[in-house]
Amino acid sequence: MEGEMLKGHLDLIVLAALAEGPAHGYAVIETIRSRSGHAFDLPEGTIYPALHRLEQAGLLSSRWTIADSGRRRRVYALTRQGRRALADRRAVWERFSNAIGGLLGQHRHARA
Amino acid sequence: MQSGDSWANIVMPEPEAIAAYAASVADRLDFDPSLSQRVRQEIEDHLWECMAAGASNGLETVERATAQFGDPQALAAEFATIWLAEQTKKLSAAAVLIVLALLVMMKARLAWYGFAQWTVADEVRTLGSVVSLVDVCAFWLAVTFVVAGWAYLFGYRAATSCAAQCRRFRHVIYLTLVSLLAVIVSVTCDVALTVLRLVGREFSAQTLIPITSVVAETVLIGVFVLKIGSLATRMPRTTSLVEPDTLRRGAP
Repeated sequence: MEGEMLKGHLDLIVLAALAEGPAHGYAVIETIRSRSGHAFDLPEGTIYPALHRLEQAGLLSSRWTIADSGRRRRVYALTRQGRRALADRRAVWERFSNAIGGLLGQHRHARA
Repeated sequence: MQSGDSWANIVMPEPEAIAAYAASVADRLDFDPSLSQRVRQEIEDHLWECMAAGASNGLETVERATAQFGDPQALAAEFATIWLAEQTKKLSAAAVLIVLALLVMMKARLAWYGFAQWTVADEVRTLGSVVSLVDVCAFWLAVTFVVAGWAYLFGYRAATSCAAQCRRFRHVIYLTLVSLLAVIVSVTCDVALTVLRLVGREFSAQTLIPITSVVAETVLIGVFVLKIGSLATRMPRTTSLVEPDTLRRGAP
């Protein structure tokens, strides 16, 4: 997947990864990898700053928990504002995706 | 401090490798101890998780995971930019609130003078008028710079690079600094005007009202100075992290 294309949708991807419930950074990255069928392999150096930025924007909240290993772990969750933002971005994405799909479909029909 | 390249060439056991990489990022964020500590613990936790999940040799897993985090300098610059954005927004919001609070207090004090029919004595009336004019000019200058800073911060489309964002935040802080200087002049004039009205009056409960309001104004200015001072002392550290080239050239 093109890196620049992914970066343009980074916020949507991270918000979507947290839609099912709170998770720490490692789990967010794993969720993105597995749910995208390993198509999105976003580096840690991109995800952690994005988590901090989205928290600062009020779309995520975070708190420390203690992992089974005994280490402190920062867990992120969507805020109400984050859920609204995810719904908005999902709607925009679906419109865009349908439009592109329509265009590509039309093109294919025209050539056929 | 290690660069990303030198980091990759160091061979050490896994726990030390994890701690060293986390420290190489966190130490660069020492301008905010809580941010530094948070980043250190998040990176360490992540790398230990990678170790636990990794099927191959532990050190190889750690090296692969640290490579995914990238150059410590670049990663720390990302966190520093986010931190600076938050601090600049807080400072701008504080500036707006403080200027509004000053306006309310000034208007309330003037209303009180009108209600109590306290006027400036004839012998200092000219001086009072001049001080009052300076006060008004300084206050509206402060308002102009606070609004300009606010508009510059929120009206512009977000810059893409950390360095460009850092420059924008620095300009907002400069605008806020000018507004602080204007507010200091305005509050000094308020103190002088209050003294001019109080001269020759007996101390009473009534005199406490204007005195309390100018003390409150002074305290607000103190808060403003502390906020800007705290950010200004940490700015060079963030600037050197986000804009290393600017510092070498000499910051504008």
